[in-house]
This record gives sequence, C-alpha cells and structure tokens, in this order.
Amino acid sequence: MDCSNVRSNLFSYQEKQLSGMEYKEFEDHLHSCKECSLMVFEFQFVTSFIDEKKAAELNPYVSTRILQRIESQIDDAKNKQIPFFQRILQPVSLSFLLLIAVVIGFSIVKQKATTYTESIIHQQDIQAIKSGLYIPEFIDEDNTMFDNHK
Amino acid sequence: MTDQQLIEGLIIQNRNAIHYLVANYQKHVIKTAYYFVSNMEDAEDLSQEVFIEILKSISRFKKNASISTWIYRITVNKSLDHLRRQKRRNIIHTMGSLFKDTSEGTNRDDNKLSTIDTRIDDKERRVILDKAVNSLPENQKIAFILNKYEELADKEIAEIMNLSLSSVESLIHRAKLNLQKKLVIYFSEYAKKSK
Repeated sequence: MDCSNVRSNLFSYQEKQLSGMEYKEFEDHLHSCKECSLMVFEFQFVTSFIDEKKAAELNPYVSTRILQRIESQIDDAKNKQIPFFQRILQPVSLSFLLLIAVVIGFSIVKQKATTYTESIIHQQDIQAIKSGLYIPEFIDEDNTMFDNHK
Repeated sequence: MTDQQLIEGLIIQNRNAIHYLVANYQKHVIKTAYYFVSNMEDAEDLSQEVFIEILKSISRFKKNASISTWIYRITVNKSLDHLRRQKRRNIIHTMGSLFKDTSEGTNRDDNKLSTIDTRIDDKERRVILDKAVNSLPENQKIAFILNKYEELADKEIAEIMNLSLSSVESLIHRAKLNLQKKLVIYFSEYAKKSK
C-alpha cells in the first residue's frame, strides 16, 4: 500500500472497514512512513470532534422555553382566529348603542325644556287673567299670617 | 402515546400531546440542528422554530408516514435555511469590510497566518472539521451528518431525504471521500508550513 492508498482509505481504516489483508498493509505503511502516520493521527484527532459534538449536553431549561414559545404562538393564533364579522360587528354595535344613548339623552333634555316652557306660558296666562280681573296681590302688612311659622 | 394519538392531539393543539412531542423529540431536533449549525444557542432557537412549524403543518402531515422522519426533515430544512441566511450575512459583512480600511484587514490576515504557523490547537481542529463538513455539497452534507453524527440507518436517511437507498449510500460514500480529501489537503499544507 502506498501513500495515496492510505490517504484515500482514512475513513475505511478508522471505521474498521478494511479487509484483514488491507488492514495489515495499511498498518505496515504507517510504520514505514512518518508523514502518513502523522496524517492518520491528525485525521483521527480531528474526526474525534464528531464524538465530542455528539456528547454535547442540552440546556435543561430548553423544553420550558420551547413550550412557552409554542403557547404564546397558539394564543396569538387564537386571537387572529376571531371571525372577521365579529371584529367588525363588535365596534359597530358599540357605536350604534352609543348613538342611541345620545339620541335618548337629547330627547329627554328636549322634553324637559318643553315642559319648562309650557309652565312659563301657563304662569303668563294666569298673570294675564289676574290683571284682567283686577285682583290685587295679597300683602300681609302686619305679618300676622306667617308669624306662627317664624 | 402512539404516533396516531400524537398526531390527532397535535391537530387539536392538545396540551398533553404538545408536551409529549417536545419531551420526546427535543433532543433529536436540537442535536440535529447543532450538528448542522455548530452553535448550541442557534440550535435551540431553531428547535423552537421546528416545533412551531410542526404544529402549523401537522394537519397536512400524511398519516401513513413516520412522524419521526417528518420531524427530521423539518429540522434539516430549517438548519439549512439558517446556514444559507448565515452565508448571506457573511457575504454582506465581507463586502462591507472591503470598503473599510484595507491596512487593518492586512494586519488581521497576518495575525491569522501567524497562528496557523505556530501550532494547530483543538479549537482550530474543531473549526477545520466544521468547515470541511460545511463545504460538502448539500445532499452529501445531509447524508453524512445524519449517518455519522445522528447515527441514523441509511434507510431512514433515504426516507428523510426522499431518495433511494442506493443514492443515500452513494452520497455517504462520496461525502467521506470528499471529506478525507479536504482534510488531507489541509494537513499537507499545515505540514509544509510547519517545516
């Protein structure tokens, strides 16, 4: 086995996929060639980091983070799922109720104003009748009428 | 919980089913993503995206397929997307640095060369391996990582990659040849420099 054969069989050697004969030839070459021996050493060293990567520890809190993110996504999705008509109907109905309340309020104020005007007109009529009949105003000159109340 | 029960639970977003999914698959998802992106924090972030994607598209999942294979497929795709985004960012960053002070860049390169000249340390070996794996063609890289790191059977890799068994075997073989070729070139250059 020569240098190029060794360098094209690095994985096969490492994974013990060479036949008995090939394996022996490979090892014999390594004993006689310092450069290939170093090459195999470096190759095995570098690829040992595959095992190091495989042994990497996971963060114990990662599942909590994943579940939190999933739950927040589900909540967001649920909020988005509110039907379109509901999203429109809700503010429209609220505005309508507000409008009705304003109209009712106006009509009540208007009604009260009419009653007050009517009472003023009624008092004016009484005054007119009084003046027509010439009924003098009652004057309690000696304050005898309200003495008891004081 | 059977796969069928899990799928039905996930479709209705049942809390127990979601917890079962995360508890049973988080290790595979995070580790697979980590083998691709070589950074545990990025892998954890990617795992969140993978589980969200699973919940989003579970209704489209074909019930006769294996859920584990499907989850691996989503993880691989998300990891590759991440690597593509990272590559794009690196290109933009490199282009940006070209417009900066060139003398600063030259000094940095000199320093880099001097560290290679002096000695090859464990950190560098890790970088060499990651770079060599990442420089493989995409399909070879997927097949190699799932075979060598995740230790999946060739048949399962074939299902994940939607390829025939012989294609996967060929991809793994070519990946190993390419990888050892790249590493041999690197070691030869290193040996020349250290002489």
